Amino acid sequence: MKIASGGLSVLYADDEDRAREMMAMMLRWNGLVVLTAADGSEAWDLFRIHKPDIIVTDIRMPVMDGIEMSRKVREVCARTPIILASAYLNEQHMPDLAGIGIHSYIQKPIQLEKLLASIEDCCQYR
Amino acid sequence: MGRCVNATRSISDILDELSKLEDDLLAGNSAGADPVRIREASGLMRRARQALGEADPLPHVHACAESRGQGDLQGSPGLPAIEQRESQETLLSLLENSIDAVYRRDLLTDMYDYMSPAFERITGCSVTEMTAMSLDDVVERIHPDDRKSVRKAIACISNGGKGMLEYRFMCKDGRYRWLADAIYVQTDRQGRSLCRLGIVRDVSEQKRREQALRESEDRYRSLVEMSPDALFINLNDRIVFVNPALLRLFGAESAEQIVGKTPYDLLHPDCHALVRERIERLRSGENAPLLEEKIIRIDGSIVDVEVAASHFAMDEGTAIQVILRDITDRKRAEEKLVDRQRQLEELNRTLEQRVAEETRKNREKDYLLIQQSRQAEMGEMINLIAHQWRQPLNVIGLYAQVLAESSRHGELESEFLQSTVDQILDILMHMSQTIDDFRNFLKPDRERQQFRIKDLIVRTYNLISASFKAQAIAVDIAGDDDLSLNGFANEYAQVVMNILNNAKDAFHDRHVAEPRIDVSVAREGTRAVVTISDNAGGIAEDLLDRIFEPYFTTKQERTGSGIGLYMAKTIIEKSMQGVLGVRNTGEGAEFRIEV
Repeated sequence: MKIASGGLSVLYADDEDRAREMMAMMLRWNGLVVLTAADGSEAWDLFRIHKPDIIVTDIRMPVMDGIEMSRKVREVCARTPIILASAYLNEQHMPDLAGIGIHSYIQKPIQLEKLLASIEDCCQYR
Repeated sequence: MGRCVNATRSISDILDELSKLEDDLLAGNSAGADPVRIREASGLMRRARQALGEADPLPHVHACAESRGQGDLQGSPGLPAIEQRESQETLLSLLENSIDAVYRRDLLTDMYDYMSPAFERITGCSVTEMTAMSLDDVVERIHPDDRKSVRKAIACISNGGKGMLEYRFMCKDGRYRWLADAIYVQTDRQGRSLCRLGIVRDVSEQKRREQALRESEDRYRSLVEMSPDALFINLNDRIVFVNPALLRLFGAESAEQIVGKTPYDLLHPDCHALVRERIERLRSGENAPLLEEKIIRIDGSIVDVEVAASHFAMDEGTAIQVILRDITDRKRAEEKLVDRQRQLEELNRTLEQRVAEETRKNREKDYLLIQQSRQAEMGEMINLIAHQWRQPLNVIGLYAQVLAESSRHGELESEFLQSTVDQILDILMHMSQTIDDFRNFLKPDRERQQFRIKDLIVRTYNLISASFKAQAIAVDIAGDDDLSLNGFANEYAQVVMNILNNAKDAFHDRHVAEPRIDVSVAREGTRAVVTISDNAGGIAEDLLDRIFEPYFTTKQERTGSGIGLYMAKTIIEKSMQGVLGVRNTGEGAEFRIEV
């Protein structure tokens, strides 16, 4: 799968260093511009500066988790698609997610094919 | 000395009248007469006869009686005058010296015409004083309570006959003495009363003895009637008396149900031989010691009794007084005591063995429970493993995809390939270690072992750290690195894990903003103390005492088994002889493990 438009920017947030680095490497190999953040706070800072096209974020992260960061993003931008990636997503997160407007959810371990398909899907709604 | 009025004639008359009185008394004509009085009267006569030196006095007395109508002893035929005078003197001497007083009252003149000197000795009044008394004077000296009966008796025989009187007579010193008075009224041939003759004896001492005897009898009777112990009297192998307690003991409604039976009818056949021997011994004057026997009640039931027996003489033979006491309760208590004693001895004998056995059983039971509760946490364990493995599995997955992608994009170099494979292996090794840790944790503790507490807590936490990180719970483990314990390490770890997991659940249930757990390991004297405190808000005060009860849970959503903290307490307090407690710190709960 190829992302149709070149130069599409993705903000990728994950607190696990190796996973973050490898995913960034593979997304780049697939023609995406990738920004990486190790926690929600860093991601929020990068979003405000770079206004990436799409956000892919882990839920559980130190300092600020993915849900809180997503909520902050939604406060300033209603349209940027957000993809949640997590090993643990269960009912306990549902109240937190309600009303934020999440495009899709990716289960860890992440399969690159599925993530790319989700990103491509986001492009249609941009 | 007695005052004699025509003494010779009077004494002759007295002798005659006494003879008549004796005849009547001997013939039993004196209904209701006191036998003692009869004996005394006849004794007086006997003495009189002996004094007269006669072998057969009756013809002589009768001869006197025949001459009585003539009123003159002188006219008595066939007796030489000298001999008769001697007899009269002897009789006079006898009357004058007798211990009994004799009087004769002439009913025509209503005056005493003879009174023997014994009166003075008995009453203190001289013969002169006595003879001067009118009948009213005499009656005045009789105790008021006795006057009526005296008057009545005298009236009864006023026309002849005899009677026995007993009355209290006021002596000269003003004190009453009991007198017995055998009276006889003499009549002439026309039936006219001539005189009243009486023999008086001082019976005060006898009366006193009779009174004392009566009182003694009353005391004995009341004692027997009121006695809580049952009593019967056996006379010639027949029961002749029973007390109320005996009726109660035998369940009898009336004495007739028992009186008349033999003692053997009341006793269990097993006791008969022994009782027979005891009765023989008692009759021969020996003592019978206290003995336990069995009786048969009216309703046929058998009761244990303690029996005491003593003998005493009765006119009809040797009577045996038997006292029985119901000892059912005592027997029962004794049997219970013996039984207890036997149990105690048995217990002592097997104590060591039992202690070892009980210890083993308890340990086995605890061990099973601990195993069960650990198994029950397996579900949670699998969750924990999943948590622990999700991240590394994700990384391995990414490594695999990176290899494929790099190859597809022509970026796959051998150095990169090698480093990626190394990284994958490293992660796999780590995951394998996790499996070992879990397996070790689940392995039952068969033996005590030395372990370092803090190290054990860190390793335990590492097993479950992923889920704590997932809930962003900060866990700090601090304290003495070298403090160690000898005990069941995995059980101790189970306790720590249970407390940590409870805190984690509390954080989740209460949506605590910045969850934090502080674990501290420290030495306090000879004890190793671990405290685990959280900031989840604590435990309701009224539940503090209950959280260690089995099947008690406060957990929402998740179904708590309610056995975790109970097991934790069992492990620490029973397996390791320590103390597990909890308190509220204000911020949250603090568990304290002291071993």
